[in-house]
Amino acid sequence: MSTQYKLVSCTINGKKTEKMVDVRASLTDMLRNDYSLTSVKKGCEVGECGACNVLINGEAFNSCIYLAVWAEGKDILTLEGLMSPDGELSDIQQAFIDESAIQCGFCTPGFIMTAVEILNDKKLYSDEELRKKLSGHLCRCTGYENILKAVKKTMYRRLGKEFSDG
Amino acid sequence: MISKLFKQMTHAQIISALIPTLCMLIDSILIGRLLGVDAMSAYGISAPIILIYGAIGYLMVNGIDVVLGRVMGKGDKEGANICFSSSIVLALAVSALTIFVIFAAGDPICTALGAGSATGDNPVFFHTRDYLRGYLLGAPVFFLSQILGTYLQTIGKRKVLIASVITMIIADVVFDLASIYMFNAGMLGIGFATSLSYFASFIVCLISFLDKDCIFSFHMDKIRISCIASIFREGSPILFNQLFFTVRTFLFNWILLGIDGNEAVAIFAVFTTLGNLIYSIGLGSGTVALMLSSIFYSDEDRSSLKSLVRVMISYSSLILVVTILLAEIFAPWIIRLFIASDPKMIRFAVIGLRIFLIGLIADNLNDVFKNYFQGIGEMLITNLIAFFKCLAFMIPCVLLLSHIFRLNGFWIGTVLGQYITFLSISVMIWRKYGRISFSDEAYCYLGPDFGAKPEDYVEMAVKDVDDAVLVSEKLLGFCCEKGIDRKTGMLIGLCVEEMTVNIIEHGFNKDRHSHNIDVRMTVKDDRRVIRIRDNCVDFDPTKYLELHRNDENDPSAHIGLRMVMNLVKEADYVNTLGLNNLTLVL
Repeated sequence: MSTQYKLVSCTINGKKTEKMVDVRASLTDMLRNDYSLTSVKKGCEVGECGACNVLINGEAFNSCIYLAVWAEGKDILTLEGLMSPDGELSDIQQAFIDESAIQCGFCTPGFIMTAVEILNDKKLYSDEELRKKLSGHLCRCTGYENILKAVKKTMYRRLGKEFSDG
Repeated sequence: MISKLFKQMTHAQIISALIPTLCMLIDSILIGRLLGVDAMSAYGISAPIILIYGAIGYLMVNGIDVVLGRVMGKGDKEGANICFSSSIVLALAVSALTIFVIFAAGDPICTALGAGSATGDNPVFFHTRDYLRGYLLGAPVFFLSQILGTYLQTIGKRKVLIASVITMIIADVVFDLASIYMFNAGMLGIGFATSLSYFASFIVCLISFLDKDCIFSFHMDKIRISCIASIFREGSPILFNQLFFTVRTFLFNWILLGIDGNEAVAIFAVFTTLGNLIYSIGLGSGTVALMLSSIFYSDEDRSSLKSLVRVMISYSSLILVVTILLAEIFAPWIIRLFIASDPKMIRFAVIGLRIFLIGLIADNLNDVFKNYFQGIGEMLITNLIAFFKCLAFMIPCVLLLSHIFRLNGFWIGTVLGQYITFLSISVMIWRKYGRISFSDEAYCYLGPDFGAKPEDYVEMAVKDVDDAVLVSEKLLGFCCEKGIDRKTGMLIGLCVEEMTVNIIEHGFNKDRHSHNIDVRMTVKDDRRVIRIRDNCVDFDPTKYLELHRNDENDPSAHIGLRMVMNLVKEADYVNTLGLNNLTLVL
């Protein structure tokens, strides 16, 4: 079977890149197979679980149902791009550790990328709004409370407000 | 794609329309040269019955074009089979009636036609009766081959259609000669030879319908009286057309007799014969216009109708202009084929033919528009065009100009009548829209409520992989504009990309032809409907997956198709006019 390829030029985690990709490949496949960005998890592959979430031009997308060719000219951010150059974790990553919002860790990169989109809004969301915004993610082991707490805590910190765990 | 389809179908339809005319020409030559003057007179006397017989066939074909087009446009396979089964029964019933009438009442019919009475010293009567009996005995195969031709066009078997008409002409010549030289069967043999040639044509058509994959199959339980009534109703404009045409011919002959006597009538008879041959172009493109407009109208496909209007004006005019130019150049030679002796008459006829031919361009346009309007259900305009071009504008023009310029005025009158009729179409459009417009949109003659609103649909053509990617991105943007959630938008883009790249990869290289894909997405009442139409080899993805459901050797086999079929709520496939139409609902 012949395969159709197309050159995709985009910025991934701040670096300009170019790669010939199968026109039917998903962004998940491109990021994992061509750029070894394994934080992008292959979960349900039908856009249900959120494990593959990445930011495209600042918006969170399920990369499993986003074609790689659609990424042409776009700015893509994965979990690997959140670390500072000296390897220091970002505040949201640290919050997930601090709040024990991780068990097996499979859903974590996707959750964190959606959390980054929420935090970039620079708005103070209510618990209900946060739950709604995070609802596109499935976690099979921790339950969602600690995850919500990690996001909420970082949101308060970034907005310079005092966070009370109540 | 519409342009290509129109051209392919028109070629087949023109040949299909041309061959019977040629068959009649061959019959007339063989009768005239080999059977003598009495036989030739009988042939001429039989003409009205043969014309009525042909008109009934054309009525059925026209009616089927519209009814079938409407159901196929909706992708209604059940409706298509109801139409098929009902029309077969209709054809057989009309055939039985025809045979009964000609055998039970043949004698009075021949007398009424002017063949005289059945006396031993009147061979013309017996020749006429024999010819009609032989000719009409083939009614079942005549009507069936006519209607099967329509279904062949619908399933895209244009080559079979051409093969069937070529078989017919060869069979006609062979059987004609055999009947004269081997069986000495006279006019009965000549008539029966035509029946046998239709039988040969019918057999060629029939083979395609014996294929188990053919979407049309005959079932007794699918016969519907309502469908038969619809075929008659939708095909009825042809009866008005024939009626106006007959009155026109009568009036023309009357006017010509007044101008220049029998010579003028004879010249006009030559023009009519030539006109019939050239008219095959108009008949072919008109039939295709009718079939396509019915399908696109039923599919509420405004843009395809616009493309159809554009291509039917430009392409049929182009073929006609080239043919007419050739006829204009070779006019003296053409006339000499029919009028051998009188130099003055030849000179008049050449001038007349050159003028008369100019009118055929507008005549053709009037006909394709008449059929187009019939296809979109505008019966009043359809009948008005027939009335205008035959009588209302034609006769006053001819009367006035022939009064001033005699015979040449008559020919100019026929040209003017056709062009004024064409102009009247623009006037009707002006009345509908309240403004003068020559746009394809205006000539489509569709109301503002027809089909989806422009903001509710998006359509694009795909020629290569780059286009496929572009289309999927454009759909993503369209979904966003329509407020469809991002995930559904992405899934729509994904499905379309998957299916179009599949078609490019597996369909575009299957044969030597160039291919296209048309993608249309419509949003109506929360239904997201995607139609992917391509002109590659037949491929039904729903059936294919069904057949390969249990392939367990390779779990990743057909993964793209399986993904699409799992993502969509509904998937429906139909092959119409040789085009694959896949409809997905998300």
